[in-house]
Amino acid sequence: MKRLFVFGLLLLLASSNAGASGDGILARLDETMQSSSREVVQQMTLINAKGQERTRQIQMWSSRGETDRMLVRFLAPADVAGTGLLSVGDDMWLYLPALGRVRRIAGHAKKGSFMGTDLSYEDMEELGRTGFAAGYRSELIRTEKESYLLRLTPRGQDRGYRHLEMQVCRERFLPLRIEYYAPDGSLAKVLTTMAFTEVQGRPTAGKLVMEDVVKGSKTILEQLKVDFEPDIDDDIFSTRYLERGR
Amino acid sequence: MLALSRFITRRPLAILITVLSLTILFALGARKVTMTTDIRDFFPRDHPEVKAYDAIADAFGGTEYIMVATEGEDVFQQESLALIQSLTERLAAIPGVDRVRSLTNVEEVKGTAWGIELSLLLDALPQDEEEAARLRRRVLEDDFYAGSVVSRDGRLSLLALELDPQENAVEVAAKVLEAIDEDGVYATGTPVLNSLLAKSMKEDLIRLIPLVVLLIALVLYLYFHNLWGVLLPFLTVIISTIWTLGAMGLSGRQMTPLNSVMPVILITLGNAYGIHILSRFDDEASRGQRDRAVEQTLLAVGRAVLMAGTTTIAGFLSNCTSSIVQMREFGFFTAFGIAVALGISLIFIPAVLSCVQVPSKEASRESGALPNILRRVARLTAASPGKVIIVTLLAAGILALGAPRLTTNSNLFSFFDYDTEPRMAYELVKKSFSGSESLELVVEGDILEPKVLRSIESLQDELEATGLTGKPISIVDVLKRVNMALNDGDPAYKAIPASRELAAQYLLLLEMSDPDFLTRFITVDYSQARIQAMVKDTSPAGLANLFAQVDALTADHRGKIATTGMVKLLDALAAMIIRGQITSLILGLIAVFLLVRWLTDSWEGSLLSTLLIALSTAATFGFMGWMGIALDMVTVLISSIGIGVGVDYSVHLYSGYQEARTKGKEPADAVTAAICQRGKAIIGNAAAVIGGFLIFLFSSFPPLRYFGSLVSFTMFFAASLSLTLLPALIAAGHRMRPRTEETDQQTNC
Repeated sequence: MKRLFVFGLLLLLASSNAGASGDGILARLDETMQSSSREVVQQMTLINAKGQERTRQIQMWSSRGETDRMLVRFLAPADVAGTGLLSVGDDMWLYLPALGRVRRIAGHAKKGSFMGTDLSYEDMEELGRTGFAAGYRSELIRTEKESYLLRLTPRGQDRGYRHLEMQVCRERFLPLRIEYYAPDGSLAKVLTTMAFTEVQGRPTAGKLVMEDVVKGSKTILEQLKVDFEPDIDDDIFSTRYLERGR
Repeated sequence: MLALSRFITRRPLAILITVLSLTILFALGARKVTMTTDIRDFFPRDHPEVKAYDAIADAFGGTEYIMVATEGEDVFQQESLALIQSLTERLAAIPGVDRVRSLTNVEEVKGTAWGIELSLLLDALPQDEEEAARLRRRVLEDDFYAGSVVSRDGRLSLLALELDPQENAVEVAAKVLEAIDEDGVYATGTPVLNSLLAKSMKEDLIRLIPLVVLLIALVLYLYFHNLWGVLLPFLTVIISTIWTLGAMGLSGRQMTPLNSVMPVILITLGNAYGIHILSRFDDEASRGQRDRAVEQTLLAVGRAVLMAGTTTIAGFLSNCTSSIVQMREFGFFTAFGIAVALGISLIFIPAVLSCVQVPSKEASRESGALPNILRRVARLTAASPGKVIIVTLLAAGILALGAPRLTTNSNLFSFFDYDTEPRMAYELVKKSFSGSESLELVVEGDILEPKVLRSIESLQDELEATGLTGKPISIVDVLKRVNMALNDGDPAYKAIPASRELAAQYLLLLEMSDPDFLTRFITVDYSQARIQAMVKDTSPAGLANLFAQVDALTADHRGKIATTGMVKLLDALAAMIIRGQITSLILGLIAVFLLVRWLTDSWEGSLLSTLLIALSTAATFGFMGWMGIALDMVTVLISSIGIGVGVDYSVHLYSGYQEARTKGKEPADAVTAAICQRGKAIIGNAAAVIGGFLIFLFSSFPPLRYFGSLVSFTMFFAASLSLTLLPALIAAGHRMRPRTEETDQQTNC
């Protein structure tokens, strides 16, 4: 009887632990945020260290499949409206309406900043298409009343960070705050999310703020429209559509 | 004076203790004094030029550069490139260095992943000769790089370090200088020179002060032939120097290139008052009235000493009207130091004299060469004042004629000799590249409009056509490159984008690649663009010419165009130097005139003294003009010193004349007596001052050397005139007046 009790206790402990393991939480988080295709209209506000602001609006279609495809088109300000980028697998095309033609661009620079924001291309991908679990092992540090605190360590060497500290909302399984630590262990960037809503039954953050602690700059991303799993016409991911501009 | 002398003789000990304890207090304060050589500290904070300069730093980032040049056989050899790369990384890591632009990290506009990318011109170091040769061709054929990051002959490379405007550029420069220890690597630019200047000036002072102390001691010993005669005047200057530095430290002021000459000035000038007191004390004591000698001394020369001191103070205070901050502080604190020296001489020295049995000299002073010369001068002056007047006025007049040739120089480079390393580095960068100082033009308007872009382009072309700057760089050059890159590198497209939209789309691509790249060219709202050009000739004449042409060019262009940059500050400083000089000169003369009038109670005395010193100053400026010596941040001080100190000689002579007159001598006899009695003290005083200032000849800075010689020149001239022209004028003046009785003009001393 006593042995049974101990066994039962262990079972209980194990099951509660499994329910809230770091990797498990991360998997649920990815599940909440990922989608095989998506359409987003986003307002990007770039604030530099001096406090000067610049605002742009983009519309973005993406689709995961055999080949990842994405189309980004600028909506505002007026003088850049229609500017577009198309990526299909490793191929990229650029369209500048004022130049009037599509240009194929070689190579793929995933290390750089995403559209000049404080988010890197990879930061952006993790928050949307690829998720975190593929690239990181997760360890639960603490469970708080409303959130979990995770420590994410890269699985491979190719990530630009030493580790991430992520605060995950227990109710919605969305990141509330992510601290990105540089290879030397210093804090590099901080992402905070807010304005939570439900879109198509899925919880989502309406606003993301990424702060570059080193440079002192800040990017605010506001989701003006989010559509999960939209029915995207394959024609959208074509140079012909890219060239149509607006 | 009587009350003062009574007070001193009654409580000498209390005075000694008070002075010594105050000295200890100020000595503690003196340890807080630091040194600044930042040119912006020369301006009042709200000066429009400084505001314009800060505004551009605010909008576009730093405009202050440190230039590091590497020299070798061939920049494109792997070894040289590796050095440049290592320097680039090392220097960029220094706190306060915002950006380093060098051959190994200069960006090139390329069409890549997210549109166009700003990628490194040099992806990897060339592996063989052939690759090196290819790189060499590519870089040297491109006027974006040739003459800016690499010299056109390919032997030198330049690393431009853009400094964080928030940081102290001089301190950053010191760190940069520490970080480069390779042969064939040089650093230059205003911050570097400032930093070296601060360091070398300290070294210079440490060398000069003992020298001047030694020399003054020697002069004092030759004059008094006893230890007390050396010790007391000395103590005076040491106390006054400590008090002054202490006052600066306690009020949070800093040493500058300008007031670094102050200790030497105080040591040199401050002892004069003591000399006069001691000299008279010797006289009084040797007449056998030892116990009353202190009182008698003060009664006899106290007034003259006070006069000499107050005029000197007035001379230095006249700098307080200057719009140059450092000049005002220099004027104020030097005046303070002189006031202290004066007070010590009038109170402390007599107090010591009444406490201690100071041995006085034997009364055998009337023989020797000096009194003989003075007697001859006195005789000549009394006999033929007309001739003396004509000869001296002629000499002064010829010298003064050089005054219109006077130039100004606010360039820090002139502080270094041609054969010193900072100067060589400056000349090297000037010769092989455009220069190390930038001219900044800020154009306001709807920048992306082709019309505005074309206007900027033509302004740049016109600026380059003047031949006074290197190739100007602006957002126009960036847009032209992008245009070419997105048109398959076709040089025909190296032109301004045809529409506002195209320009905006190009900039969008650049921002997507590197959000910070554009900040040095254009503001975030595209309402202001910056044109930057390196200035070839930063001499005052070169800058004056440049700004005249720039003003003409910008006037032709529509829209608001502001001009700034370190060179503009230098140019403004030159103008301020001249204006300040004129005001302080006039004020100084007026102050001296009134003071002498008040102290001698004679219109004649004050008029003649002021006339004499005006003449000496004019002669000095003329001398500078003839010799091609420029008025700069240091030599600008000569007129205030000249007026304040130079007038002392006339005042001494005139008060000697007055003393003789009150003793009942006729004017002509009184003149002779004044020359004989006061001549020795005047010559001794002038010799000490001249000797002290000549010590600056041992300085490592040309402006300080000029300064020393010029002040010496003024002193020599002023002292000579006070012994010749002044008595001659007095004598001539009285000759012209009707006299009641003939007197013997050949009175002996």
